[in-house]
Amino acid sequence: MRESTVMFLHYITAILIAVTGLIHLLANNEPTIGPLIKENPVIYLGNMAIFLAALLYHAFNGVRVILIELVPDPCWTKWISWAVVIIGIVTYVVGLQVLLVALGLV
Amino acid sequence: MEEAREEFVEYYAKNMGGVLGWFKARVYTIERWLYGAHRITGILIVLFMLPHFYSTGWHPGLWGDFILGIIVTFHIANGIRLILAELGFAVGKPLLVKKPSQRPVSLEGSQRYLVALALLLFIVLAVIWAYYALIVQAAT
Repeated sequence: MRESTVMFLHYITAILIAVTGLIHLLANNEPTIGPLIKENPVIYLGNMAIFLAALLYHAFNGVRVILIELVPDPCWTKWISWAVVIIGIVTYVVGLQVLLVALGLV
Repeated sequence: MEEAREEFVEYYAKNMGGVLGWFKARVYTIERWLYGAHRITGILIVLFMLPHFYSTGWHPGLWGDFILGIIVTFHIANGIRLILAELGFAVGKPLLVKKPSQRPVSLEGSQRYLVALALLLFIVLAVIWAYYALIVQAAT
């Protein structure tokens, strides 16, 4: 993927995190709206799936940007990028599984 | 002239400053300070996420919540400024910088107002967060 596309997705996920993260906070802390979100597993799970994906993309891309700026070598850059992609996908799968177990759906 | 410029670019492309280079901001503009703070807050948020992912019930506690909220609201406010600057809002026309003392246009005028607005938004969001984290949560 081109670096400009990666960074564009970085900003898109930033906005997604702001929206879904607010819903996540409300669902867990707000006494009136919270139960309404939590009792609907589709909304809660869908929100969490989007939130987790956006958060992991944003966080791992941020770490990747910092690392390839500190080690500006083409060979290292390639390996760092692939490592970050693989660790990110594994973390997303594990996170979704933990979420499904916590909701009692698996 | 061209060779010297290439050497200059090559030297800075090596990024010899490393992590300490983020904080060598004394002679630079306020945007440079915000850049360092954005990095640090981003890393701190990632560090918070690790125990929160490991145990989903983990909570940083009352004052931990407060500090985390301050960190996150700064990252959000400065991030909005960065997105707007990236999309080309309030950057201004690129002009040739003629004197060493002359600042680039992108760091003057409307960009300065954007910095002020971002810091103002940070303070507003941080106060709202502090109200909920310290007063509303502590009462329940």
